[in-house]
Amino acid sequence: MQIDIESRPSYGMAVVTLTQGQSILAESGSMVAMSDAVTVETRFSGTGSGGFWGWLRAALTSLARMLLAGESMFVNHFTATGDGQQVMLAPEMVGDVEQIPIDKGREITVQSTSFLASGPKVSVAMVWAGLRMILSKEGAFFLRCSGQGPLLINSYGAIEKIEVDGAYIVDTGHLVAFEGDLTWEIEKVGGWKSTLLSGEGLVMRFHGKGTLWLQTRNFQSLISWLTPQLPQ
Amino acid sequence: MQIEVQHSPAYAIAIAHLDAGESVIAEGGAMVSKDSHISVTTSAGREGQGALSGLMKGIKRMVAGESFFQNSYVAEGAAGHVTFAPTLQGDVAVHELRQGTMFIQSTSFLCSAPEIEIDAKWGGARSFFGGEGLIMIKASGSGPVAFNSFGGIKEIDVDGSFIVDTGHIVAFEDSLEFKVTSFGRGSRLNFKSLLLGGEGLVCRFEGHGRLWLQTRNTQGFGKLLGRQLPPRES
Repeated sequence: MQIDIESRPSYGMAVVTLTQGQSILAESGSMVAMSDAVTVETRFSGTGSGGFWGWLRAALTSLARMLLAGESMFVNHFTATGDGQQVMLAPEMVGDVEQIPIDKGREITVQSTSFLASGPKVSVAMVWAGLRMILSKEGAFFLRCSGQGPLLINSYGAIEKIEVDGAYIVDTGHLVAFEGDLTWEIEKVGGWKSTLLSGEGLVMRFHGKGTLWLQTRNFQSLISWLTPQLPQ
Repeated sequence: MQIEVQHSPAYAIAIAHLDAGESVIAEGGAMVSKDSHISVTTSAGREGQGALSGLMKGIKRMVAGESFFQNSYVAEGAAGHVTFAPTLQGDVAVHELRQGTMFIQSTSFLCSAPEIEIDAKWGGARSFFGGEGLIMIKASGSGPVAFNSFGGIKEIDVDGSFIVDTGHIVAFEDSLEFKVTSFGRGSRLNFKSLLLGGEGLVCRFEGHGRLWLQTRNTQGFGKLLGRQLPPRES
């Protein structure tokens, strides 16, 4: 599998080239174009083993992903039936796309709206982000990706990569993804006065050593700016 | 005439460089700047065509989502340039037609050489259900044509068969056959992917020719923003 990202950073699009039998799972609605020898199968975004109970579990975890993490209930599985077949994937939002390889011992936690696609051996689970995350309107759950294979994430604005060693603070609306070794807590940016008047709201304090991916724009800020501009 | 593109892909503009006496036709409202000696004439049709034919062309363009009037910029007596920009942010591409024909997604036409005939063409009933314009712009003749996208533009040389989401088509050469079909359709109709796959209708291109697609979809972006914005009161 080869992944090239084009039109960066304003309108990033992933061009995934597959050999026969290889597949990629993508967020529903993200396909831009594809070669003819690619089959599509739509499945639940949650996971479950075979049989009725497995199906029920997949359905329920998919529903939870939709309700709690703001993700789609379904993902599309694109599988190549020949060599050199391409699938082009892009998010709805303007901004960049980034590829992060996942391996044993390297888990990546993604802000739920930033998940775009993953390899078939990458498993995705929901993790609780923290009660205060609800207040920041970013969704109370993150998606934790583990296993082996590529992960594609998307951002609003460009993606800034930060190597954290120690402690580091990020605005909740600018978080895209981080490595599993990092722990976090959600806190006020300063005292109550700063929280109310600084315009920064809540922040995430990261601890440990690992990579952090940030986006250079904030979707909720765009909405807050646009709303008063609209005619009554 | 030469059309140069700058500031790709985020906020591209087209710069038409004209020799003395040359002209360029552009979508109404697209001009950003021009040399002061370049004159502008506004009409619905072409010079030498009857008023009724001009009216019909204007109406067809309007139905296609373009403006009723088109502007003609003429470099009177000396060389000069005119710059054009589309409404939305995104990219601009230029294709040089040589006695050829291409189709452009409605609202994506920006400017062209005066020798290029611009017409509207019925895209087939199903393209309507794909959520895109019912009508496409047909450009034929010889000379450069500039068109714009929402997002970046990717050029694809199709040889055989290729599938594109209807919201991501920008333009294609007329040597390609196209058919609007349901997503996930293989040997049998895949209702699950059609209903739940989130792609709706896709366009299958067949043959040999060039295709331009855009890396973002105005409808998808609009819906994403719309879900967060307060309802419009009528």
